[in-house]
Amino acid sequence: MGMFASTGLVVKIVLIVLLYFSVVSWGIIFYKLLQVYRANGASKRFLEFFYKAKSFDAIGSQLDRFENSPLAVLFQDGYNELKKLRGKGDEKADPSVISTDLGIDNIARSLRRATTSEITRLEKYLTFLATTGATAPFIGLFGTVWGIMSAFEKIGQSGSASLAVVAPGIAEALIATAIGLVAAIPAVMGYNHFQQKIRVLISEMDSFSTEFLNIVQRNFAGR
Amino acid sequence: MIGQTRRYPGPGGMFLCSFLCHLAVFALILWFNQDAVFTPSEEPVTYVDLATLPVAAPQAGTPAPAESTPAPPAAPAPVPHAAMALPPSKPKTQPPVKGKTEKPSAEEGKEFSERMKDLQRKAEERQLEAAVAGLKSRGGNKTVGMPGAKGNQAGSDYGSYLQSRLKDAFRDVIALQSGTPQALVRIKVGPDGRITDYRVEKRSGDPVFDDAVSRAVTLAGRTLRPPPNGQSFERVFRFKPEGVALP
Repeated sequence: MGMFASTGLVVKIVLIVLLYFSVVSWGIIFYKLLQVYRANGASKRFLEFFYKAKSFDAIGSQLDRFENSPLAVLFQDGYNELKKLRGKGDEKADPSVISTDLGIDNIARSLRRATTSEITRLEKYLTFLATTGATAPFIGLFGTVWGIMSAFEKIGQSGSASLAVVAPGIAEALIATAIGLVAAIPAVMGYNHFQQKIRVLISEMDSFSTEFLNIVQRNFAGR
Repeated sequence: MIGQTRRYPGPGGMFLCSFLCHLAVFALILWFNQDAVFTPSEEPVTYVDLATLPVAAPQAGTPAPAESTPAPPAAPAPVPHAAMALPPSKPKTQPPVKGKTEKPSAEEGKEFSERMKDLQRKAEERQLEAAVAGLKSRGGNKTVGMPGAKGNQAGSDYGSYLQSRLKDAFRDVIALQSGTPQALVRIKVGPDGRITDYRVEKRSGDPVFDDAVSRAVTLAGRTLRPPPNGQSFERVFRFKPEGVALP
């Protein structure tokens, strides 16, 4: 605390900025941990339920149980689109069959849109982690360079080069680099971790979309 | 619509949680710093001013008992300078008759060389005495020797000792804000080795530096030896960023 109080104005501002970066980064890390963990768990449970269920209508009525799963969102969008296509067909035709081949494309587009929307949601705030990891050490370094400049200026004014005069100024300056690293290291680790987890979820969504379209093609497409 | 109604705290709640975590870590660091107070072992270091070795005026201390030192040999009677320069001229005599004067002339030559050696030795002793007298007169009558000393010991005075202790303490606590602050401080050390009086005769104008000076005096006062002869000691010291000097 005393060390912070004795630093110059520029170093103080640098430390406050780095503290802001650190607080927000950790907030994002906590938030993403919760979001990705729940998305993974809910997706696994949804897939189990999906393959056991006998009809899309049965799955559609139970979707509230899997509100954190991106796969459930995909299913809902695809299912809604399927329902629209079935309702729009010829009234004399079998209502369980999609009237045109273009219907499959509509569902595919709907699934792609939902996938993009879910990826955007999952990757939200991750850019801040990347920015913190890339810039915080440099901001800290800037504070250190500025602090050492001030320290040397004081040493020159005092005319004494003893360790007692030199050391405190340099120690105060180095704290900026330390805080910069403290902010950057968890941010980089968190960013890499979440990127990998989100990549797995994206591949799951792609697989699910393909599977959904296959089922629709098999059971609902007109012959 | 699922995906819009998820049941976990949003980013705002997590930022608050993160802020609280940072506060907790900060408090933890402060708590650890309070516990870990660095207490370096202080070995007193006494600086000896080599320029004053041996003491400038050995007679300033209490002289050693007369019986313990052998009486110096009596100084020889001064010999006129002219007598050293030239051997005493002998009266010119008529050359003696050959055959009778060969032996007496050899004896005279030996006697002459002995007298020359004696004269040279006396002249060297006189020069040495003159050099010692010159050294003594340079020291004057000031009592700059160690109080209570025998007068024949090498060493430094109590002021230099106190200066060295203050210098050590000041090096540990020095801090300053301005360029070249200087403070004059009068310090009085009691017979028990404690600082009984401490007055700032001239402030430096830098409150941080003045505070460091005050702390240095307090720190040095913890390990002082008492002044010699059970007397109190008072002196003014000049505190500068380079160290402590005697004004």
